[in-house]
Amino acid sequence: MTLILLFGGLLVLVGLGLPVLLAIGLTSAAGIFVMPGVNFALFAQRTFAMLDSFSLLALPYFILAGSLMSKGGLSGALVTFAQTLVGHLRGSLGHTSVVACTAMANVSGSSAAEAASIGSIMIPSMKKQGYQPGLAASIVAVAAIIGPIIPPSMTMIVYGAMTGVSIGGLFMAGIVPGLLLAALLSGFIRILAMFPQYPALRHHTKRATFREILNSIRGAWVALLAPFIILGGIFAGVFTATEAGVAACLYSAIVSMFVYREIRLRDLPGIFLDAAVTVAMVVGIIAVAGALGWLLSYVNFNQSVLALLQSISSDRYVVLLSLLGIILILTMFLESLAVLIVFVPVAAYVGQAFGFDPLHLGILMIVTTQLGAVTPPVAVLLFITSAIAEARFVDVVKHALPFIGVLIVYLLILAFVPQISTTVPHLLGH
Amino acid sequence: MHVTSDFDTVEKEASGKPVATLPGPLGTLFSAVHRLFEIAVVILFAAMVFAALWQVFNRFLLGSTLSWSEEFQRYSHIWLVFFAVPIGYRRNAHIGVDILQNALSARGALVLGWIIDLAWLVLGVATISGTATLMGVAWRQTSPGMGVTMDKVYLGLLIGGAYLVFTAVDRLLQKVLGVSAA
Amino acid sequence: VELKLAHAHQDSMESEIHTTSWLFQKYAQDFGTNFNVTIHPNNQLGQEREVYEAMQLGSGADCIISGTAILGNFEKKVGVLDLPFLWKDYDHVHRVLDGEVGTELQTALRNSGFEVVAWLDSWGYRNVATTNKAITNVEDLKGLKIRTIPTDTYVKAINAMGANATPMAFGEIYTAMETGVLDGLEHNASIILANKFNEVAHNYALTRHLFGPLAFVCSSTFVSSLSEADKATLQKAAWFARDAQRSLAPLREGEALKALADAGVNVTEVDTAPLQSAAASVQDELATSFEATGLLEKIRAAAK
Ligand code: NA
Ligand code: NA
Repeated sequence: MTLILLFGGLLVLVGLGLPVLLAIGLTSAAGIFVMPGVNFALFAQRTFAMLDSFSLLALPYFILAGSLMSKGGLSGALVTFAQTLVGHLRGSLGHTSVVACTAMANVSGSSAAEAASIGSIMIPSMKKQGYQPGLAASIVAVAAIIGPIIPPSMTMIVYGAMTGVSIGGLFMAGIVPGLLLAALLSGFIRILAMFPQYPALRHHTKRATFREILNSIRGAWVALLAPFIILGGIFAGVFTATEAGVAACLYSAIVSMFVYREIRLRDLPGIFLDAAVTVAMVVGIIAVAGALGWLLSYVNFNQSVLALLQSISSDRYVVLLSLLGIILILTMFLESLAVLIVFVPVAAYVGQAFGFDPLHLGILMIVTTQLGAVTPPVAVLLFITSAIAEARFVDVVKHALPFIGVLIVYLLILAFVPQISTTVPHLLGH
Repeated sequence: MHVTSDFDTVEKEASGKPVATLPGPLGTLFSAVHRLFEIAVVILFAAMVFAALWQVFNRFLLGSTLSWSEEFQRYSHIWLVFFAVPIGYRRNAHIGVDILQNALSARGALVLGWIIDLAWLVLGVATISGTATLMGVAWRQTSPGMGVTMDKVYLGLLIGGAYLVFTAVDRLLQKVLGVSAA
Repeated sequence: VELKLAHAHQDSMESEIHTTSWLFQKYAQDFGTNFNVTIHPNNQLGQEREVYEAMQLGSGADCIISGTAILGNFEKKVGVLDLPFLWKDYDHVHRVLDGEVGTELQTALRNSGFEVVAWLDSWGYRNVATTNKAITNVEDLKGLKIRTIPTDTYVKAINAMGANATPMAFGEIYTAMETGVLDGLEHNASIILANKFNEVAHNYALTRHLFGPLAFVCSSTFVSSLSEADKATLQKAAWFARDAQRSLAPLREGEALKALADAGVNVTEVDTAPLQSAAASVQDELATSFEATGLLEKIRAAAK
């Protein structure tokens, strides 16, 4: 009953057109207000607590770095370079986004940070080339999912720490699924390019000459160096993956001000302020979703789900797919990480009772919650990219739907072919 | 993402329209408060970046570490978010599903606009009320990193909630007085 | 009686906290009248700090089992329990906490709205795990970046050992050790195993610098709502769980150390005698800032 009121209320408010942050905020505030024995102060405490995490700091830093890069001429140089490289392929900037996200995944552990940083660089250029803002936002949001599937990955660390599944093993298990996703998305973009509804994807240039490629490298080498400096800094043990965001801010500020000279010191406050508003739009939703997630735990929601799953069937694949389905439906309304945290005990039970490989199950849980980050109405990755694209959310959702279809097929492939996840870690002794 | 090239130019909505302001001395007062929060957000963000750089610099080059830096960044981030949420509201930047809004008649859209501004007001009041109670117990508690009592940390939520109410009142007054963006 | 019991560990019997919760739950439900205990593991109701804060408001969990370090945020005297090189052995811990010192701290915590129903053992001392460098004497620790929690006591304890205390969020430890931002961390053997830190930290030096006892704490609001009979059941169940948990402690510590060694970790003994004078002055300094010099004297006296 409580659950029906919570989800029903949330849906009505979102449907009315209230901003998502406001809708979740009011629903959870109301829920905590009427819950017997719960002090209303917990509404404030839970929104605070959800943000009280060091790992989350990667988000503001990468959003700021992305702003600096796009304002400071780095993105322009990168795009010129990318175009000379793959501009002759149909859907070139789409492919470039996928490749950039895959490359960036070696550095970034969070899809939100990927969407913010790659999005700030790629989306403006895609729009310039005539991509509908919604399409540009969808491509980057979906490609950003590759980030936490290819190691390192904050989500895997959280999952491993909570379940006792080997984190190193999860990292290795993610490599092949991550590359598979990149290939699937690139292939799908190439297929879309054949349809008349996607004129921008037909866009391609003449194959660049060797001389043109060399020239574009001369213009872009400072920008091209950025990921190597970030990666190098992490692997040399100078900073952690979260601190890498700050390193990226410093590097892009220096390059924008002193190499490309497109930003003056007096532009910085405006850039900081605008980046802060983008941060608040995204992180504000995570905060209020934290309050809602806490309320669900408080009413023993996860135990009810377990009972439900047990009543559905005793077939292992029916139970597994039901579990993933329930998680997917919930991630439509909740922040993904919150859902993952609520469902870890249920997944652990399903794994033990039905004999699933813990690494296989872990990858499925991580991919499902990441998929949830692009399923509307609550879709953090789409929020980030639509903010960058200045696109109407409805348009973004419209363009994201075919990609969500591809992701569901991808999830089913991973579910029924465990070897995709388990072969590499098993070969390496996990 | 909308980026103004200069901090002193007229503030714009996400759609590119300039943000509407109230006329007269009341408008000057409201604008001054909005500007104050914008400056605070910029300072918080800059301070976070400096704390993080200082942390890496100390650990890697000086071989010493700061116990306050991680905590300082976490709490500043939370203040920044709570201060910047009303700024996003003022700029009409927050993400929503606006299918219904676009389908409604002018009159219907007006009513919905009132509902949304009042809803923001309620959220602001809820934040203030919850935080005030929380601060009532949090003063007994000391944060391990910076050694400040937790009520001071929670103060950011209280101020952010108050600024949200302030912004909602600004918007409602504009509706009453029939002010619209130029 | 509906009782929500929260903790931060996994719901596994390898965790001393979950084992205690489970024992308490079984005892209370089978020997109390109408007790229904729900265990919320894995921080389901929030991080420890937040759970305690909510308990002060009479909300969220009714009871929690946690380390004593976090209680120092609420009552600084409790910090005395987490001083480095303080405890001689398990018996010393029990003598102190079940005696005068334990009672004094219980009274102090009552002012913050907390009722300590039992003091528990952690299953093993905190030791230093390092990635590549094996530690055979205290000199080897010099300058190593060792992760700890950002609490003054822990930072000073690690620095007093000659290492370089590096406060860092728990979730970052694994990769930070993999890439070399950290040279190691300090924790007990079962936590190292449970979080698979042994995959990146191949050495474990038995420095035994911190013991870190645990506390079973209920909110005063909850306890005062109980009938006398129910209060008695709560107390008996907590004590039963405590006794069982304490008797398992040395056993489980030995098993965890053996499991680490079996997993290929190089476990080394370290003579910490050269650190004793540095440790004593750190103890004095911190106890003064906790206003707990009297308590420190009593704990030291009980060691003999
Ligand atoms: Na990654
Ligand atoms: Na979603």
